[in-house]
Order: sequence, then C-alpha cells, then structure tokens
Amino acid sequence: MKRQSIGRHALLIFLALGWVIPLYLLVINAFADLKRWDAIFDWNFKGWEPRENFKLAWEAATLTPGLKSNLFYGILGAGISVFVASLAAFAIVALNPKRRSMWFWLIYGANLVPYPMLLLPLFESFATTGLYDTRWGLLLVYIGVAIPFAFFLGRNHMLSIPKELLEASKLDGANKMQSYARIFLPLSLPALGAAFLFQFTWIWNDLVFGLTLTTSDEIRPLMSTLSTLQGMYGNVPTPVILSANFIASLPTAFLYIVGQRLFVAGLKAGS
Amino acid sequence: MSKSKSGATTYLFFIPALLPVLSILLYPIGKTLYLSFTNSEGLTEFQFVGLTNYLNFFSEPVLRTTMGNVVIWTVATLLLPVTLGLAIAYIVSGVKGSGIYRMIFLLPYVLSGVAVGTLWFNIFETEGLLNHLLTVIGMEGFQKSWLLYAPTNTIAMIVASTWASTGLVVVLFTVGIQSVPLQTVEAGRLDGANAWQLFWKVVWPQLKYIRAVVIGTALANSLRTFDIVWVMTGGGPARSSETLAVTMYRESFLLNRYGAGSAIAVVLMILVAGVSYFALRNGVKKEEVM
Repeated sequence: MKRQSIGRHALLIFLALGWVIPLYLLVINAFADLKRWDAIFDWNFKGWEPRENFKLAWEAATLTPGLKSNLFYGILGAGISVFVASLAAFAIVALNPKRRSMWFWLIYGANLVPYPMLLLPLFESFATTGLYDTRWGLLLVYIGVAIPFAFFLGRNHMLSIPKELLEASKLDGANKMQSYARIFLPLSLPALGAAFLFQFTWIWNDLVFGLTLTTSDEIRPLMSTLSTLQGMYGNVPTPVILSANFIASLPTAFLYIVGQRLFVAGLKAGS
Repeated sequence: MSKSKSGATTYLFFIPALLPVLSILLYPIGKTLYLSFTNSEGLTEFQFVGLTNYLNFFSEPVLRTTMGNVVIWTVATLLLPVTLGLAIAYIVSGVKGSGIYRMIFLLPYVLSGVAVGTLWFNIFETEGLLNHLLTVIGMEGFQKSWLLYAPTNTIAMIVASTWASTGLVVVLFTVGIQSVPLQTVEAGRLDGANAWQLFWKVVWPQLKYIRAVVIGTALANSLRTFDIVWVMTGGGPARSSETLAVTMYRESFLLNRYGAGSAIAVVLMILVAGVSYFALRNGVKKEEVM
C-alpha cells in the first residue's frame, strides 16, 4: 500500500512538472526586469519587477474602466444567467412539461454553436437596434451565451432531488413558485454556485464579443482592452502584455482557490 | 411515471431563459443559415446563389488541409486532455495533498487565451525556449521550426491547448470518481482486484454519465478552437494550421466574404452538434426516463 502511494506521488510529480514548468516560464518572463530582458523569452530569471510591468501596462491601456466593467458583466451576467437557467431547469425536472426533450435541446442545444459565427449577425442587429457599444447590450450577450451550460448543470443536479419532497410540498398546498423557492433553489445552491463560477470565469476572460460589440473604453471588458496592447506591438514589450494578462487572471484564480470545495461539492451531487 | 398534466404556468418558467437564448443564439444561427445561401459581402446588395458557397467550400484545396486539421484536433482532444485528465483524476483520488495537485493542473485554465497563446508561441518559436533547451542538452539534431510546418504547428498548438484545458477535465472526472459509492470499491478490493482492475471493472462503468459530459464539452471546444490558433500562428503559414473556426473568421471578417464564411459556420455547427449529440445522447436519455 505504502509503495503504491510513493509510486503515485512520483507519477503525479512527473506529470505536474509538465504544468509547472510552463507556468514558471510564464511568470519569470512576465515579471522580468525590462532593462535585463532581451526581446525573446528566457529560461533564466531576469529580475523581478511585477509592479513596474503592471504599472506600464496600466498606463499604456486604460485598465480601470475595463476592470469595473468586468465586475459588472461578470457578476450580473453569471448571476442572471444562472438564475433564469435554474427556473428553466426546475420546470424541466419537476413540472413534467410536454415535449421535455424539445425544451432541453432548445435551451441546451445553443451551447453547441461556434461562437465566432454569432459575431456578424449580432454586430448587425446591435448596430440597427442601438445596442452597439452599450453595457446592457453586451450584458445581454453574456447572459444569452451563459444560459445553456448553467441550465445543463442545474438540471443535472435537480434530477438528484427526491421527487417525494416535491409531492410533499404540493400536499402542503405550495404552488410551483413556492416549490421552486423553498425546495429546489436551496437544495441546488451548491450546483448553481459551481455554474456561477464557471460562467463568471468565461465572461471575465471573454475577448471576441467585447472586441466586436463595443468600442469605447468605458464599455469595453478587460480582456478586450488588454488586447489593444497587442496591437501596439513594438511599443509595448511582451512582458508588460503578459504581466497585465496574468494579473487580470488573478481574480478568477482566487475564486477557484476559495471556491474549489464548493465547486466540487456542487458538481458532485449532480453527476 | 405519468403525472397530472403540468398546466400553462409551467411554460412561464422557460421564458426568462428562452428569450435571451433566442435573441442571442438562435436568431444569429438563422441569420447565418440564410446568409450562407447568398453572395453577401457586407453592406452591398446581394443575391441568392443557392449551394454555390457550399460547393466552393468543398472544392477548395485549402479546405482539405483544414479538414485534416479538424480530424487531428478531434482525435488529439480525445487522446490528450480527456484521457490524461481521467488518468490524473484517478491517480490523484485518495492521495495525500490531492487538492494541491488538482490546483496545479487547474491553474492554466483560468488564464486568458491570449496569455496561453503568447507563452506557447515563445516556447515553440524557432528561436524559442524548446530549441534553446535542445541545444543545451546537446540534442540540436531534434531542433525544428515547429510553427512553420504542418503538421508540427498543429501539434504544438494541441500541446498548448492540452496544457490549458486538462485541469477542467481533472475536476469533472474527480467529481465523477468521488460519487462512485465506496462500498463497490471496497468489495472489489476484497475480491483481490488491483488498482488497474478496480478502475476498469468498478470505476469506469460508473463514470458513464460524467464521461459523456466531458467528452461532449471537450469535443465541442476543440472543434471551435480559435484563440490559441489565432495568437500562435494566425492559421499560417499559408493557412496550413487553420481550423474551421479560423477559416470562418478569415472569410467573414478579413476577406469580407460573409456568404462563404456563413457556409463554413454552418458546416462547423453541424459537425459540433453531431459529435456532441452522439456524445451526450446516452447520458441525457438515461435521465429522461424518470
């Protein structure tokens, strides 16, 4: 038993090196001292200036509004999509609708759309409806794209909730909304929390929708703002771009570290 | 189990989810389908051209490369992130410090596509870190211009994508493995099964449902791979590393051939939908019978 566990650790450490080494390369090059860093990536440590590099990125692209926008899009987008998805999941699991499969694929099937194909039609309809370059317009896009997978996770979890609970609440005279609010919503909170985390991360890292559907600094999400640094290639050194990208990922990394337990517990009951 | 009919209010619960999905996802799909039968180039007038875009699409030689790349991506996604993720999840389960291991594999998942692409570009570039390492350990003979030739450029990007996406697969399979009832594992152990047998005889059959979810999600993501390709090679050189999503983007947004781009989008969607439907069908059907 003991020998087996040493073997497991050895194998895991070997595999983990494949993940750690690139991370190490990313970090040392992103935070390298620009005065010592030559135009290409280096295996060696060339100074440690995370604050300096990040400051340069902050000055080159105006990141403050992007950060604020991201909180708006992330929290509202993930929150609203998970909430409305949970209503639909409740209906499909507990209310015995006619043509259950049709409802499922109508909402979930949209998850199979390749995102780039949405861009052109959305751009056109946003231009004609005045939603182009507005906060609410982009938020609507995030909500729409985030619903299918949140629905899928919520539904999987709700299937594991015993039907007797629903029957009992019906006997107590609860209506549909009350069954949802008193039984299904509270019992599936961990799964919905996991869905929130997933979708928050996705929205936080979105690049293409932000680039296509917005133009002003006030409205643009963070990753799209950051990508304009790329366009200034030559002027902005790679470490600056990378350290900005890296730091922009810290909030989601933090959420995963804090939420891992919740995340695993939430998905577990639904599998 | 047939219960009392559900009544009209049931459908009210679908509406808040359905409205955004219809306007943001389903309307654009319809629009794309429509454009794919036209020669639209944006703002100008356009005509219906029937199946021309589809026929052109299938007769273009560059498309053979793209389709070849799609096959490589699909097979590699099944072999690498999915198999590797499952193996890691199984090896990690029950080991001391499993949370730390899982965190290491998951960290790249939270990075933006731009960060992942830039990092791996600098590793595989001709003057990059990998070739540098090969010099240092005296294996110059193995040096290559990884990103400049097919199929090594596609393989290099698959490595990058595996690095970024395996962590999520590990987490999903961990969830699946943890929900396997302990008694069944204990019973297998008492029967004298080793870890290998325990996995195939006891754990694997019980992962049926989560397996469908993981494979379906992984394949859909791989077929629409865009960010990493865009940053690492831009689909080049000479379009040799394009995937369908990149080809579509190029036709629509760089060449302004909206009609042609839409046709590619439709083909891509049918592929993704078909593959995902087969991957998910079993898992979904099983739950449908309640």
